[in-house]
Amino acid sequence: MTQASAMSMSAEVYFALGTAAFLLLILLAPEVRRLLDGRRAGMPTAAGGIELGALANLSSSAKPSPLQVAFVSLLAAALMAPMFYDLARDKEHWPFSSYPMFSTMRQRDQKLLMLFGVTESGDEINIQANDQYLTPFIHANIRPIINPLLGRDEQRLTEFLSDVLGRYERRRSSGEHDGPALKAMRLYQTSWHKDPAATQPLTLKSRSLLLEVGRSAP
Amino acid sequence: VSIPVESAGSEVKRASVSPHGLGPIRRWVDFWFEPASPVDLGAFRALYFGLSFLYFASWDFSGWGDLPDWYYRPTPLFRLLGLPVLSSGAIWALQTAWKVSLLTSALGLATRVSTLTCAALSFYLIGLNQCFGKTHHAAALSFLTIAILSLSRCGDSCSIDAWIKRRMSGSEPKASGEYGWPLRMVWLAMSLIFLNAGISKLRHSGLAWVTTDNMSLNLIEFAIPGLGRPYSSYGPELGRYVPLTQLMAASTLVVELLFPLAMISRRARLALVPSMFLMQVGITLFMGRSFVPFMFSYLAWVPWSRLVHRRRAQDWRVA
Repeated sequence: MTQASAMSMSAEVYFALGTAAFLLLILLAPEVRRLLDGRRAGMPTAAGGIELGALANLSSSAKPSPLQVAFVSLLAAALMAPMFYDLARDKEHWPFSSYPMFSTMRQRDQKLLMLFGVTESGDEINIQANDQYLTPFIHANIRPIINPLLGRDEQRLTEFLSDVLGRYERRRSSGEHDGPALKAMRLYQTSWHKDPAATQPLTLKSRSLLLEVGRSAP
Repeated sequence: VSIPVESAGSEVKRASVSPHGLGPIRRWVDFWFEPASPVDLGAFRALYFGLSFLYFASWDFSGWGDLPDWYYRPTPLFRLLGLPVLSSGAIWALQTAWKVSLLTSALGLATRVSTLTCAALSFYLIGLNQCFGKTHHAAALSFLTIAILSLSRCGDSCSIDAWIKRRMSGSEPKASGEYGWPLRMVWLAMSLIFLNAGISKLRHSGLAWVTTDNMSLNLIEFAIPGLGRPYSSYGPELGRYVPLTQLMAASTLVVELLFPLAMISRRARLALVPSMFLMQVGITLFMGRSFVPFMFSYLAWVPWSRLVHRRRAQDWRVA
């Protein structure tokens, strides 16, 4: 058995075990058992936040048909199966995911790419601080787009910065945000140090310019 | 809770049938089809779509339509279905229809058509938002909740449709399992999300996620300009108290891992659901990762019919 197939097997085992454990949890729960106690006695119960008065109106014909049961069961399976699959494989298949956000360990020293706009007077503004400056992107989109291009595809990186600058200016001209006019866009590699015990828990250690793109002449 | 089933003089007999003889299929069916009041589902529909409409009303997806092709990184499902990025104009038209469908779904006007339209458009528009470098985890539940509601009889109460039907036939919908399973399906979706998030933390970091200064560094990190949108500047300040942040991390992990119990235990529900809600409020406040549309789904845990009946009983007593 190759390593890949062994990993694949373990993912399937995880998946099956996860699904089985989840179902077991539901079926063995005391509340479900108590509910069934009530049902078998032919009487309504108060479990699950149900009004007894409303339950009294429930006729026997309200029992679900096999088709309804199959439909809801399939729907539950369609929700659980990809979620457990993604969990086992540590992958994402939107709208399903292993939901790994914040799961990795944070380091005290951190490098971060940052975009700054250069105003007519030469000042810099952090354009990731306002999503209106970046629309349709938000600040969280920027790094996943830039990171794979860095050091590999300078042409596209330049195209991206020009595009962000052009969009910013177009939106500013049409009154969609009130930021200052920009003449250039700069991409920096920044380095930060975090120390909870220090007087300043967060410090900028260094900042180096990677790329600058100017506004093309109108 | 054991329920009185029969009164004979002063003696109250209680249901006491052993569940051991019941098969897993019966338990499964009874879990999903426990009868619920149509008000529970109808009120959730009205509030969920109403709040979503207010939240998304100012959103504009049309900018995705005029980006260069190489920006587009379709999610596996979008790639599988071959869904293209439409032009800005077409996206604008779709998002207008989507916002209208959110509103008509909230009002319960032609509910089945409105919610199905809303689900289809949510899949494309919210899904498209994930195809440009970043998956926004909080958005997935919005689509899942809308899709679940679109497959249910959520328009039978608290809706214009129900009002018209009542005027025409004079009949009220009765409690039924049909009104219970959609809410429980939303519970299931939330439980799976939190369970996966908890297990992911253990997988990637182990217990060090709790026992080190990881949470502290996380909070401090969000003071970097432009990294998040914290509503409060106290996050980095909180990060200085490492034992406190370790306690926060431990609580987060425990609540995430135990969250599925909320589906089946009322006591667990009372503790876990508000705890998780408050944690997400904390993340939004201190770290600036917005969970606002995600948090609308917590409304599925509220027993609306009880609140309505309690209110009616109070009114009756006053009268």
